[in-house]
Amino acid sequence: MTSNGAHQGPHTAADIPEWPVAATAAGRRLSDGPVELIISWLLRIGVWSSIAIIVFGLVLLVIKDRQALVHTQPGGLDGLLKHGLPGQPGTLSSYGDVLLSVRRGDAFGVIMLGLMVLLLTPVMRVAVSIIAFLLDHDRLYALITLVVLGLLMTGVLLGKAGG
Amino acid sequence: MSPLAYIAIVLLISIAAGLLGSLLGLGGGIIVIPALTIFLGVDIRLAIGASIVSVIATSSGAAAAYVRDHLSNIRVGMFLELATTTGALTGAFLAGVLAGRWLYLIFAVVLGYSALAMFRKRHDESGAGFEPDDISKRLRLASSYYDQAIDREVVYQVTGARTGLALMYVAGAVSGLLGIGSGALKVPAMDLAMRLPIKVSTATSNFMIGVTAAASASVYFARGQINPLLAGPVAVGVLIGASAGSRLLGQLHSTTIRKAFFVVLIVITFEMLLKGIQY
Repeated sequence: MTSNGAHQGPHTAADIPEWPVAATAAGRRLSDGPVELIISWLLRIGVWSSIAIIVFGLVLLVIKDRQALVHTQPGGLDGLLKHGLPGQPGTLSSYGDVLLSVRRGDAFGVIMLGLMVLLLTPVMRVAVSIIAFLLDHDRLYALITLVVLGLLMTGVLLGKAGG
Repeated sequence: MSPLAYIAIVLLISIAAGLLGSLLGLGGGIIVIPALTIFLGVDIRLAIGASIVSVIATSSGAAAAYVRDHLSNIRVGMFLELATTTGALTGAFLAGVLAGRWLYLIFAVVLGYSALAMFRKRHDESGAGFEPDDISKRLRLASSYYDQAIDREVVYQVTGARTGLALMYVAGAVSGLLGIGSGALKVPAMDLAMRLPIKVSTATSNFMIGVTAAASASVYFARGQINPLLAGPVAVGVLIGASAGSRLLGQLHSTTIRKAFFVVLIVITFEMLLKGIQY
């Protein structure tokens, strides 16, 4: 995509004749490789699906627990977070708990499901980047990204074991 | 106040955090944590859980746009993630071995130094006028982006790949140890050592911080620190703020971003000094 670093010093794209294509006004190049597009697309899907699920959960919460939501409770926000709401489950701290809660139709479970989609988005981004680099015939970066994924998974597994 | 009013306040705080975070390559923890703990009296454990959610939301929300617009340099990001993930692992192992007080104080000194160094070169545009190093050449780190503020394509070189990698290792270790500072250290490392243009530095930091945070997110989730009533509105607010911010970055002048980053670095420096002293 980019040159091999043969150009130095201050210059604009116009100074480099072999530059693939001129920049468009939108800041995108026509020569966009698949990598940027795939990563950007994956991030957008992760972000929008998580926001949709969380908003759905919040709407569900307002519908189900309308009474509890508009009445002031003692203890401020911290008390509210610690005691939860009458119609909702307590702490959800495993994937199994969250899925069970979603099946019961709890608003909290739905919100947590959306948060889980959000938390997994960066991991998915790294995993999908490997495929994207391979599609772009960029083995070096596919390898670099594979190592990053390995380190990331090691961290996740160690965290689970230790935490 | 009623629970609904709290949800609305948390949403507003988070929009601000997402906006600032997406522009400066930070996770928004510097806004979310103090606002929740000091002003709303939330337990620090739940505030940290919300902050991790905020980092991932800022990163994913902003990077979706920055990657498409070539503001994030994904090669630089992927290459440096080798060091940040290794650093985060080291940090997780070292946690408990090193004294927190000294970590905060060292972190404050590093940030203070970075702030001054970045302030000194506030009128300087990076990315040109130097030789790229051998690793940057071999990894094809040089790239270009379209700068809306000056209405032209900016072609830039990259150097100092080794120093950048070492600094990212430290940044990863610090965030593994203290759960903070991933963006505040990443941006100066790319700016000062690798001499990337400031917009590319903040956009690439945004691209990277989600991955650094994802490693620890599963731990906070398993410990029950992710509360749906708090983290849900935080995620929604930050995503709204970050998508607005990601439209703004291209139009802002580099010097404006540099100055804003300088101010935020000074604030974090004092915050860390205070934590170190009180520890």
